[in-house]
Amino acid sequence: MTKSKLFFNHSIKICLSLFLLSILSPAHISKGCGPGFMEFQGYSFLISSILDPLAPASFLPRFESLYETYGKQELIQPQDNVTEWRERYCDIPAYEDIHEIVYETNIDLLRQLYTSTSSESIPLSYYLANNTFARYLKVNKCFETIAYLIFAKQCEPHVVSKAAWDDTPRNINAMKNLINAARQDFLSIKSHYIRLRYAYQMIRLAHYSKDYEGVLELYDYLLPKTDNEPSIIEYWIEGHRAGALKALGRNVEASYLYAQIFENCPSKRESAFQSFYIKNDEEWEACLRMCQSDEERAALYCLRAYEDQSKAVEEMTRIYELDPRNPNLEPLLVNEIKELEKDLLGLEFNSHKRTNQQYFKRPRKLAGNYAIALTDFAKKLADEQLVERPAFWRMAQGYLEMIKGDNYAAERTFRLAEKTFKPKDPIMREQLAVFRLAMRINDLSFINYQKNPSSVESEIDNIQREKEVFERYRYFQDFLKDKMAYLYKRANSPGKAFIVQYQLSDLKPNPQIDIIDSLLYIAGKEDLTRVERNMVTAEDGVTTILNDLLDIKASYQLSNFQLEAALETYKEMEDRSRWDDYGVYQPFFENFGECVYCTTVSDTLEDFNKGELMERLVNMDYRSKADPQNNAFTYYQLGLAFYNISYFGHAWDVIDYFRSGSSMQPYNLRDGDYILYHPFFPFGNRENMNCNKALEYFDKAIRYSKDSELTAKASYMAAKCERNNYLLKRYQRDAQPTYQYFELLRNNPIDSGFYQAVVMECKTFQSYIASFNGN
Amino acid sequence: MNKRLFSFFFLWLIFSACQSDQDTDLQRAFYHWKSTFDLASFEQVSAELGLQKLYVRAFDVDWDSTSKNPVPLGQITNPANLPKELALIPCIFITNRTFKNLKEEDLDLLVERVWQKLQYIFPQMEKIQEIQFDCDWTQTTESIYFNFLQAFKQKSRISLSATIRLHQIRYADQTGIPPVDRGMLMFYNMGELQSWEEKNSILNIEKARPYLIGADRYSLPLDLALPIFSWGVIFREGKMIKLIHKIPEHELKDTSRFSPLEDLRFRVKKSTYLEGLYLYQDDLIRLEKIEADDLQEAIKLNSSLFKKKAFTLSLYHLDTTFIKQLSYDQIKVIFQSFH
Repeated sequence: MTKSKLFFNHSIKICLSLFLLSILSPAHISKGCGPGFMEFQGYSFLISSILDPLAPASFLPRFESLYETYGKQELIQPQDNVTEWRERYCDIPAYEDIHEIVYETNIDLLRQLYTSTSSESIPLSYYLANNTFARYLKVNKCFETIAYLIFAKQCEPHVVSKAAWDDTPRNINAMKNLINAARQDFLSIKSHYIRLRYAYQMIRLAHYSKDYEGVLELYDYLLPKTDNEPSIIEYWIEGHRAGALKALGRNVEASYLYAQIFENCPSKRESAFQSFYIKNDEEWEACLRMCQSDEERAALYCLRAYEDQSKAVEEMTRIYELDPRNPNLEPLLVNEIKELEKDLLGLEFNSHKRTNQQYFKRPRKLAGNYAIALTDFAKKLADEQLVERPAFWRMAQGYLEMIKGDNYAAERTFRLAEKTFKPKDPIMREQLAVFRLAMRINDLSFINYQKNPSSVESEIDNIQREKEVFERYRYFQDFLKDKMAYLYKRANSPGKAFIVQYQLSDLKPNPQIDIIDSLLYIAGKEDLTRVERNMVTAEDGVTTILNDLLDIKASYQLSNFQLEAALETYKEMEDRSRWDDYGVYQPFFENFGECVYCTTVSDTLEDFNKGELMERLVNMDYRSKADPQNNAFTYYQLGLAFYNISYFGHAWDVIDYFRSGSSMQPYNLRDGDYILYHPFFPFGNRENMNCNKALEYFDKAIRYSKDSELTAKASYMAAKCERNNYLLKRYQRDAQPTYQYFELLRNNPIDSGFYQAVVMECKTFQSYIASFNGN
Repeated sequence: MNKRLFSFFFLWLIFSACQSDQDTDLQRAFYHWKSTFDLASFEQVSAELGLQKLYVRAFDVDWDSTSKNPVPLGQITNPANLPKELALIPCIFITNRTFKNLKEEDLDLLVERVWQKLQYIFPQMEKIQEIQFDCDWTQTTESIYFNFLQAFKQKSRISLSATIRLHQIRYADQTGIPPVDRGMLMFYNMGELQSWEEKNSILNIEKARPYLIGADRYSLPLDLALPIFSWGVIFREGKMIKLIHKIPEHELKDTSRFSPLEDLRFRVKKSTYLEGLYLYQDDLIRLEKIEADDLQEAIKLNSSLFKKKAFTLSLYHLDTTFIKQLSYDQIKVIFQSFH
């Protein structure tokens, strides 16, 4: 693969990863300095439709994440409000039209609507002519509603959150005036529903102006004077009352109200959860005493259960005792299972288990005990049949058994659950199918693989063919890959273990010879299983990765200066014409500057593919060894080639596939192995920074040279190697630059353009010379 | 002649005797890190301790992932109550993720907004001699944070300081040195908070020691912040789950709810609320607090770094609970210990 292609693939991978992260992860507020955008890596086999979408906090991994996904309440609130307006007007106006009037229309249009309603001869304005809600209000002469809408629009600027950096204070006087004006007209309003809405606006204004006593006074005065049908607005009012109580230090009453709002009003559920606060045991007891029914008491336990890191099973037990059909029980169970999935599912073979442990502290130490408690609880509820969906609890019991690793018990429980499914319950059946497929992957065992590898691989193949389930749920891929990698690793098959999890290109930045050899063995086999065939088939779907593997291996050998071995490896490519597939290079270019990305270096120099280069190098090496005295130039050329294919040369990609400029930063060099961590490469990025081979050849060229210009050139290149060696260890406290070859060059100046050119080109040499000239 | 010499010696003696740390090069300061300033309790503290400076948390800046913009949070609610007689240093904490997300082209707008807000909170800005920025920057945010500091300095023309964490002083070659006039070395939060085995994550001298190697070569003049706060670290099922700030120590003595373990650790005997957090039976609590001896150790460790230098010693942070834990006398000794 060419450099640009590798870079392109790499970029695609980054983009894809970021895209996946953005769509699959909840918005995340990072907790200060942490592992970048690292996320917990695990699996989940709960399907999203298993919960009623209207269930409280459906599928939110702990309610605290609401804080991060806020905006959700901002969506629900107008939806519920518009729905209620529509219900009050006999479901006649269109939803969108009500939304437009309530949330989008300006006050002038509303005033025009009022005027138009006053007189049949005045038509609706152009903007509202087609609005069914406006038409309804006009036809039915709903003056009170329109006047209310105008009033609400007047209140609006005072009761919305200010722009983040806006420091202008609220206009308290204007807010008070609005409250007073509405209060004056309140009793003359005939519609009790509209009265309720006025009450809400007044109380909200008082709350936003921080007149907390005023909120309570208005509540006590206004609410007894409304006699309306149940409405969400009552809960919205209670929300402001609770806020005022909390601000006045009446925390117990406030928390009681928040619990009721949480339980009964989805459009304020999020803010109620965030505001609920119990300081001590006395407050909790007092709050419980305020509750008038077991359902209300259960709501308190629900709020506690949804707290981040709660031991929800304890709270769920209380909720169940108080209110067995409480709608929070199922979402709470799902949340707990999701936590246990992180702890226990695939724990043995999760390829990220070390980072999960290090950064996310998973598994939690007592997760196993907690899983037992939760399984028992699920079983109890399934057995007692008092809950809404006993089959749901039975299936959860089975899944928990599977998570704990008891597949036998899990299957037995799944069978039991299956019997209780209602005939038309496709969601439960689909969930069960997902659990069962996950269990089949979980069941793939090392012992069986040892006994009969092909039968296990045949089962893997069968699992992958369960397309309907396997391809629909994203975690199956990872779950299976990780399991296979684990099995292969244990079976000492590093090639298979690698290739099931990564692309071949992931191996290139730091080739691992055991993996390459293992894959070469598979690629060379004649009786491949279907799984093995998939492993060694190239991206084109037709050819194999055999030549790619040979190219990687030979490049790796060349980087270790194993010339003959590298050449032999390359010759294993069945067709010499394929050598050109891996690029052509000009490694004998005399590059006295610093240029690692000069793609075209010379029109006059010979091009080599890697195989040809290896042949040439082997030949030159033999020749120079045979007659060193007359091969100074050959040594120089060998030096050039080895310099140019190193990290510091323009032909670095002969023996490397990925080069990073930041690799020379001191913090990357400290461990001395020149293998750098890289988020996308499992073995990091190995840089070929060793210039010693090149230096060895330049040194020989100097030793055997009879030509002063060749000596000068070789000295200069050797000095570059010397400088590079210093740069690599410059972070060491006692590291000192040496100038052995610059000294040689300085002491043997030659009268040629070359000498002047290198003086101009090389700043290190300039300053070295200057130090002798007293500058 | 002898008489003149004697007079000179006598004057020198009086001058030396009167010299306290207040007229040496150490300035006494506190951090105020709450949203509401309680002037009454501060006046007593200030009078007792002879404070000269107050670092005031003006507001924080965090990244709002919904609006994709930096937003101000936790602004001080009653700046008018701040003391007039002390040098006030407004502090702005900016989260690292703000700079991670901020685009270079939006930097000037952030500078402008922060500056405007500061002027709103401190209308008499001409009296402000220093502004401090607090950000736990990393290599990836170094460039944009430092550009922010430079741009802010240019805009405000006021002396700037920046907080410096231990890792930033130890690995200055990697994290860079902020382009400000002074650095405030935050000598706390150095242990492994999340590990149950940690003795005290607020102040762990042994862990701090290696970080100070080479600190004398740090090219920025430094001030020093030492901790006097306490907290409870809560562990559930082997995992650190929360901190309880200002943990009420007396409640932990209630043996009907808590069983004392070794080294200021406790086990929850029965599920209970503590400062708004519901604790379950078998949860574990590690109480971390600062004793006068710990601070003396910290001073000893830092003494060579600050020897013969003009600097500010600021205690973090101003709260009557913490001051009661240590007593005025002990805090006075701390301020005097750098002699």
